[in-house]
Amino acid sequence: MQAKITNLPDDYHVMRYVPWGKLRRDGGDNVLGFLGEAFKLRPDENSLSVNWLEYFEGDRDAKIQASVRTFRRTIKVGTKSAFGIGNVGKIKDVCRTRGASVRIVYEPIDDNQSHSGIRRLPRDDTILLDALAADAFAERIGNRDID
Amino acid sequence: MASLVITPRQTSGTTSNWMIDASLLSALSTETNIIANWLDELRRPSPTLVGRTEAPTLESRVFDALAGAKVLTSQVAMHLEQEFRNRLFRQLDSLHETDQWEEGDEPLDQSSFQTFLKAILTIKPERRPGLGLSQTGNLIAAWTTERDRLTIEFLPNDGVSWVLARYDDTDEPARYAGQTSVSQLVEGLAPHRPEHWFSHAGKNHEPSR
Repeated sequence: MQAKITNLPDDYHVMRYVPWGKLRRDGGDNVLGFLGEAFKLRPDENSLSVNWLEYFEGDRDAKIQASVRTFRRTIKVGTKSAFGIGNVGKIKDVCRTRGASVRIVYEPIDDNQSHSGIRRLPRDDTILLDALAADAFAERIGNRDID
Repeated sequence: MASLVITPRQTSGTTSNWMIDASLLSALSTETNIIANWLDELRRPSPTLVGRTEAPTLESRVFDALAGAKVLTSQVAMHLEQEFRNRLFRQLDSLHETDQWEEGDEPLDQSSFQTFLKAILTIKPERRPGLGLSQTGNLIAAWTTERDRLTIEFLPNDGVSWVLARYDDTDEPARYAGQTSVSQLVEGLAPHRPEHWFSHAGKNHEPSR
């Protein structure tokens, strides 16, 4: 059965997995943030995969831990990777400044009931991707920081 | 003083035919021994070529990508400081750790890496960039000064795509992007005062981690 498409409210948050190769680092490999490439759609993708943070129970730390554990359970997560957290409204605002009207929708899948997607994201707008990396997904959680 | 003895087995030999006298290894500099080790590695048949009957594994593609990058770098080694080369190789090795790999990504594209080397030799940045990889294996260099970001993706065949953000004490940064040939990169970045990222003066303003 097709799940009902639900837009996530602006005050909710989503979490994106970012592998080591797409983390922004300095010349000494110290992690500083994310590269815009971390938010680029693949050719076969129509939406950017994220986890809806408020799906999980507990306080904020508990939600973050549960989301990270869900990523670990469902995809390959490198030890040196990180996760970006973005506010839904902020993500939409950043995209709007580049003329993109994205939708952030709840799209649960079998093994990840928090799975959501950012739809209508332009594929090759490097300024937008960099702004998402710097401003929209402003909070970074290291995979190693979560038990 | 001991000197590096590289004896081509054939007059038309490639690097894979070079030999270094084993008795000299202990007398050579660390850097020279590193190069000697690379040459040894390169003399071994690539995992992709040994009994290949199926599509190459990630490990073999990564091996080939790194070996190719090191050969390309050795061709311009005289123009790069030893410390820069050593650090570059550590960064490339780190980027290609297969246990950190995201499914669907490609190892370093050799043509992209050639573009990177040309750009570095042109820009001659005082500050080393952080490195990343695009989905398609293009090398990405990132310079960060406080909140200001300069990111350059090195495309195959001498193309570069860059994007920068400068905050200048405001919350809304000025953002610019461009795509050009590597020979026009310096010209393209000039209006944006790239020394803000490339010079050591900016190093004191790296964001706290």
